[in-house]
Amino acid sequence: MHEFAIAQQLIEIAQKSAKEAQALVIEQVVVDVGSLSGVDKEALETAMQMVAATNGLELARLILQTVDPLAECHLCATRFCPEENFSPCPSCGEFFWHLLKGGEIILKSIDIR
Amino acid sequence: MCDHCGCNPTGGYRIISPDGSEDLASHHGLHDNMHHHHDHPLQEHIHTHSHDERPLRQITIEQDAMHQNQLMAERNKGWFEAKKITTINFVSSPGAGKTSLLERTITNLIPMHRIYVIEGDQHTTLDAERIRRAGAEVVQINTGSGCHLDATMINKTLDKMHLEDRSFLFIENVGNLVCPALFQLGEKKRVLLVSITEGEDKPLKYPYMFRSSDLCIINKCDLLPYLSFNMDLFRNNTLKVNQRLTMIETSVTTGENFVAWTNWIKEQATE
Repeated sequence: MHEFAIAQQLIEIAQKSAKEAQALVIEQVVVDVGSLSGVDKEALETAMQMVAATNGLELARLILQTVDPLAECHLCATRFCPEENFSPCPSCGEFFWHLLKGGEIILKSIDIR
Repeated sequence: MCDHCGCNPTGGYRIISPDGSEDLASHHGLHDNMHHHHDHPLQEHIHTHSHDERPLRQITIEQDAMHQNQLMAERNKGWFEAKKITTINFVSSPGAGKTSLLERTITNLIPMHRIYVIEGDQHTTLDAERIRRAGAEVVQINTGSGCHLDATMINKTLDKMHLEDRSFLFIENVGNLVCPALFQLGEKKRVLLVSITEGEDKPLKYPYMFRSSDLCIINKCDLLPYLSFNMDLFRNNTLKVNQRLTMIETSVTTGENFVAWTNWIKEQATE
């Protein structure tokens, strides 16, 4: 599943940042998971724990936060929260919109010692 | 299992060149991070001393998980643009007809155009062999347990090929409507192949794939008389998910309306 590939990327970014900060241990990792990112939050959490364990990394706390989507309609400029990828704009009823947030997986921060 | 640290990188894949030689590669950037220095600090700490005396610090990172793949995809894209290579990423569910589409397309274009193909499958070189017989130079990537191609795999495969300027590169992705959607390869266009046997609700069920594609080829239209497939409903569902998606109805088997597809391909050729 692609959650595994994404988990590998996230752990890699975390380890690189921790190494640059000369940390000995990563105690906490915080990740934003957009609800329209195409990634399942539970699957990602499991994958991250697996990848961390495989690489000898003990994560005391792994926090995955859901980010609600925010879309902007191209036609009437209305901003709204789409429930699905095919929800219509509540103002004009059209499907011509793009996501401002809620479509990405972002490694927000790490707590290190 | 890795000799260095005993870990089990599940992300191994094979690149099989036309001369039969194979290269094993790993997704594992993590490996490189771990083994550059012998006294890797994050490795040593685990079972030894307490760190409570060290202060707890929070580092803000704000980095997209897809960032690395995106960077590599852009590198690939820049290289394609410099060499005026038109790269198309073909995606679909398994069995929609990607390889057959490529066979017919290659036969059609080969007299006037140079075509290269990168084939992605979990196992076997069966598709690569079909493409070779159609007349294109092809390299097969076997992803093993992997479910999609990514930009790094393409980058490494390009090293094994000798692409000429002003040619076409067709990348046949692993048959999968879920995972390949998230991974840019550096393509100029993404072509999604759907067969009418899959039903009209596909766009709603797999929105990420439909959203990320530029063209949708609706295949196996020769079977329309035998199915209750509602073409208008399918088109409407597609436009709900991606207003910009162009659609072409065709049958690879009979060649019906195939010229609409070959015209589109030729229009994409990088000047």
